[in-house]
Amino acid sequence: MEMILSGITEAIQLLVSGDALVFDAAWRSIWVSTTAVLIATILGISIGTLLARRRFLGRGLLVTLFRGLMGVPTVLIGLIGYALLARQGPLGTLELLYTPWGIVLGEVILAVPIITSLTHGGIKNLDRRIPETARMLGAGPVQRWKTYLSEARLPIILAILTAFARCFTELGIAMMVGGNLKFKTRTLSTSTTLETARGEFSRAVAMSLILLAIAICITVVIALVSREDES
Amino acid sequence: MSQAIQIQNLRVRRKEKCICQLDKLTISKGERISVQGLNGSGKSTLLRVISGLESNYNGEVSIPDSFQPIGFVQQNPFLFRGTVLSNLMYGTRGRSLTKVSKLANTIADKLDIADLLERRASNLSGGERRRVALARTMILSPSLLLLDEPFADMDQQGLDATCQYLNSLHDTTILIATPNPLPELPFTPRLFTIK
Repeated sequence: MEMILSGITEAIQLLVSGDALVFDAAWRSIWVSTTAVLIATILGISIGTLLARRRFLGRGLLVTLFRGLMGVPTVLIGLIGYALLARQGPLGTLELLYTPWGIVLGEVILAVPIITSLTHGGIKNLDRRIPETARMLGAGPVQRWKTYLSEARLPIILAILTAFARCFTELGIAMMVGGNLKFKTRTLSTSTTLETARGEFSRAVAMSLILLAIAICITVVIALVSREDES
Repeated sequence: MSQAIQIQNLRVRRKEKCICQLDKLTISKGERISVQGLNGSGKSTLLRVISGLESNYNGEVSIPDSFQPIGFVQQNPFLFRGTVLSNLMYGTRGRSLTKVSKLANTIADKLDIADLLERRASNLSGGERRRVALARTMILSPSLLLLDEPFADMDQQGLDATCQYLNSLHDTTILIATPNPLPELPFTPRLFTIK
């Protein structure tokens, strides 16, 4: 218990003093996750809406596939990402291995199934009268799509926040594709693992506190959005 | 080519059960018809068939182009997220905003919902929702207006405004589905009973 308390005290000192290692990892975690989730949001919402509103051969299979991919371990995505981006791999020429963009690519693969599946569920469960009313009022495909997104706003926001939380805290992709390079690809989660292994407990706690703070922020945003939606 | 809507031998089935059965119905241009029948007799389904929302049926349904566009106010109309005004403007994308705003205000005045325009649509009563849905449809100037139980949940003031407004629609063909006899209207619709 003493170790935890002293760790927290030292961690706060590191945060207040603006420790370069901690803040570099925090900044990278934020931009990598945000970029990945932005890309995944565009892809996931488009695919999720398509799966919810269009009938085509193999739709059910795709829905099941995306649902299944929601639970894929990040180390497996990291492993596949490594195999794809390694010099001998099919995407080796892109030279993304051990770069932040490599982590972004891996996190996009992690986030797309989450956003796709939850968007699909949100739009699929919309009141039947919504598409009918939109159609009777002469809405075109784009206006109908905007209407679905507006009416399914809460589940879609929750999908994006869930994906962000998953990307922000994941370890496997950042470790295997990013390589945990100091001031290059180190994120909060990989740093926390490394600092703990090195016995730098206070720095690991400092990083965990930032992770915790962002997780709390996401929870607060979810609560605020839900409350606004209910009112 | 006939300038009337012709419906013959209409049968709509769901899970082996016939939910709407009608031998013949002709609707002339400008006519007002009250479709009456018990709950479950197929009134709403008939309106859904005419509106084009229901395409899974047997029989002949012929709707001349002169009846387009068709406006349909459903039994429990859905109002989109946002204000009453944004709902009224929903189907008017691409049209002159000034003209549409003026039209929205005129219709809102006639239906006695002008003071609701800035209210959130989710905070309206049942009768108010029906009048907003009617106004939202009428902004599109439909040639054929389908109303499914439009007078339910309405107070006397709303009822009077709606009846007066419907009476003023001289060029619009109107079909009103109702399980009960209609309230006293300024016009006398033809009665069509569905069993």
